[in-house]
Amino acid sequence: MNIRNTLAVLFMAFGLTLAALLVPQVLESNRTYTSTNDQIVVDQARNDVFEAVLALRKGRTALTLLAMRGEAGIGLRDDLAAAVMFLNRAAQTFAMSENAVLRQLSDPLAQQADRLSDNAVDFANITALGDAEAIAAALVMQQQLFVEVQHETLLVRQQILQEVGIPDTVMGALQMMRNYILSVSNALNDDLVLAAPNGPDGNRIGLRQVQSSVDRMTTINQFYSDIASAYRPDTIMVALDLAAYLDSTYLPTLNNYVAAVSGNGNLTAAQRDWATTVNDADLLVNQTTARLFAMSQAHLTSEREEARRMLNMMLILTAFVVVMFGLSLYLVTQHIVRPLTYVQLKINDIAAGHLDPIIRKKLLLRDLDTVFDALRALRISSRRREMLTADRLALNEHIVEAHGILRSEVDAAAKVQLSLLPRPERVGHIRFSSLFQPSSVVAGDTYDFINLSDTRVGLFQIDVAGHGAAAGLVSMAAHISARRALRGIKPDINLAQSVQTMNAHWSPELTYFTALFVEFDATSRVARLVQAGHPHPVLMRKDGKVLRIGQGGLPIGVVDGAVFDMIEFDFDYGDRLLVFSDGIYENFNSEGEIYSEERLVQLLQDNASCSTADLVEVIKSSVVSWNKAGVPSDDVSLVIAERI
Amino acid sequence: MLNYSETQDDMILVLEIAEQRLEASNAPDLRDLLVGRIENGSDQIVLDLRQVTFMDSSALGALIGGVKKMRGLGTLALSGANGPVLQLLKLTRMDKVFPLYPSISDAVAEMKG
Repeated sequence: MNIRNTLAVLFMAFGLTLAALLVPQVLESNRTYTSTNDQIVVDQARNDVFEAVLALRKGRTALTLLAMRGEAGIGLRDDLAAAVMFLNRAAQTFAMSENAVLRQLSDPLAQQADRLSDNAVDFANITALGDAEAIAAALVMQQQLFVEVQHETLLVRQQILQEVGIPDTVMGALQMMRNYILSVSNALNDDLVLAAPNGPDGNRIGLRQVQSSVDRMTTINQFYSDIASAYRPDTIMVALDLAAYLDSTYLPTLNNYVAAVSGNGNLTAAQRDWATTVNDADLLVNQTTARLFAMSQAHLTSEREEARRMLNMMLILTAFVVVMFGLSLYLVTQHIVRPLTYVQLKINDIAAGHLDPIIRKKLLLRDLDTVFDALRALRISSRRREMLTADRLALNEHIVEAHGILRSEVDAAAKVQLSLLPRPERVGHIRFSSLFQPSSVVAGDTYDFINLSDTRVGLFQIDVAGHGAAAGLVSMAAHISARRALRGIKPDINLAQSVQTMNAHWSPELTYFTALFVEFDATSRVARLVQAGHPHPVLMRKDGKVLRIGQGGLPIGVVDGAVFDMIEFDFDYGDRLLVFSDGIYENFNSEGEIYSEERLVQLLQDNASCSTADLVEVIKSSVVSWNKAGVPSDDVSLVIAERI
Repeated sequence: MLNYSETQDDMILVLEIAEQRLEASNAPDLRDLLVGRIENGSDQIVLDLRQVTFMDSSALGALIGGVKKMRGLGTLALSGANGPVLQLLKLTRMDKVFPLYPSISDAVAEMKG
């Protein structure tokens, strides 16, 4: 799982969680707002329905009094108009509601309003005709209609309550207040009817009922006053004026009136007082109703504002969260994932050897700057390494080239050196055979044999310490000096003296070397030998006797004024002299065992009867096979001089 | 790589070679050792060859290099040379170039004397 996928999953989960948290909140806020908005409208309709009920109740009372006294009720026409207006308005409000149940309430209310209107027209017509009996019958019917309409309207009020319910405690308290007002209104209207003189059931019955009505109103008043003091006094306060008035003024006045009717006190004055208080109470009922409506509207409006504020807050919060989410997404993808992907790509490129420049964008995160710095450092070091490799390859090529040149020069030097070496041949009375096996291209060993005069032949062998080009060049210089030394032998300068001169002239800048010089003299059948640090040669007599000769001597180039000894020995027909450098016996095998002079001498003794050619082969195979690699560690050179 | 031990006895520097073979492979080291000590001011040197069983012409060249560096202003003595080494020294008449002693103590005693 890579960074990109992980972050995609994380962001998706994070986004979904945020959405799951925020969306219900927003929807809930919106729902609250819409429902409080609805509540305001419903409350208006409720108030209209309530007002209609109050108007109908008052209308009924007016009708009753009209029937009882035969006098036209002053307020009847107003009550009827008010009831019709309130019902119609409530019907219109419900008609526009989005709630289907409430919408269904519209028609019944409108129908009740129509019934009232139609009946009012009929009643006016009948009244205009002046038929007392017909008028009385119409009055009864109208009373009946008012009761029915009021009943229907109260049913609608019940349905509203069931459908909409009470949204909160404040509205609950206000609903209770309206019920209280309704009760008070009922009681007031009952009182008006019952206490009226010349009532249908007579004063006595009326008074008894008035008395019970007073008691009931007292109870109601007490009940709501208690609630008012204990429960939401701020809302119930509006009804306290009415309650206080009923308690302090209306009820005592009514009691006085009842007492006056029973014969206690001035009846006319008591009746007048009571009529005044009834009007006042009615006025208070209307005022209280209006105040309750204002309160419920104010409360719902503030609730709506609160809901609106909450909704706005939720919307702002949501917008903020969405912006932050988008911003993080942008930051993470553009400033983390993309650069990291780029770095990853580049590292792969560098690993694959593609060292294109690194494009660097502006980055917000300093950590990634460091990563980019590291990437650049990596690229630069890779670049440097690439260049170093190229340099090394070029250098290697140079070395190979230089080595080739050097090699060809060394090969040329080797050719020169080989050209200095004489072929096996007969010189004068001596036949020379040789074995030469350099351990590298150019040898430190060299030898030569030359004719010095009709009767004399010279031989020398040289071994410059070490081998290779440097030793080879010194050996060539030594070769030339040695030839000069042999040719330098004069009647008054013997071989030893000539070698002394050579030693004296040998440049101190050059390495020392060992050498062996021999002068074969045919006339006297002797040979003279000067040994300069070179191994003792082997003398093989014709009779097979093998002996080492010579007394040693300083090498050339060690001591400036060195004096060299010369020995003279018989060298007759069939005698053989073997001259060799130390390389022939200082040869180690793989076990580190040296070939040794003793082994060489033994080999020669064992093969003393061999011909010279065979002897060379025997020595060659013995020495070469000693070293398994077949390459001697030092130059091997051997010259055999045979007197013929 | 040349194995050796070094002791200073009064004015005499004793270099004891701990190699069995002195040849082309370690001859340059031997030369550097000798030349280095001489350049550092040692003019009485005993080179002990008791443990050496073989010496070739390259090693001999190193010894000669040491002597030439000394230029007769000091002494480079050899001690303990035996077998093929002694033979080589005699063959090449190195007894004329280096004082030869049977042992270190002989050399030191003689040189102090």
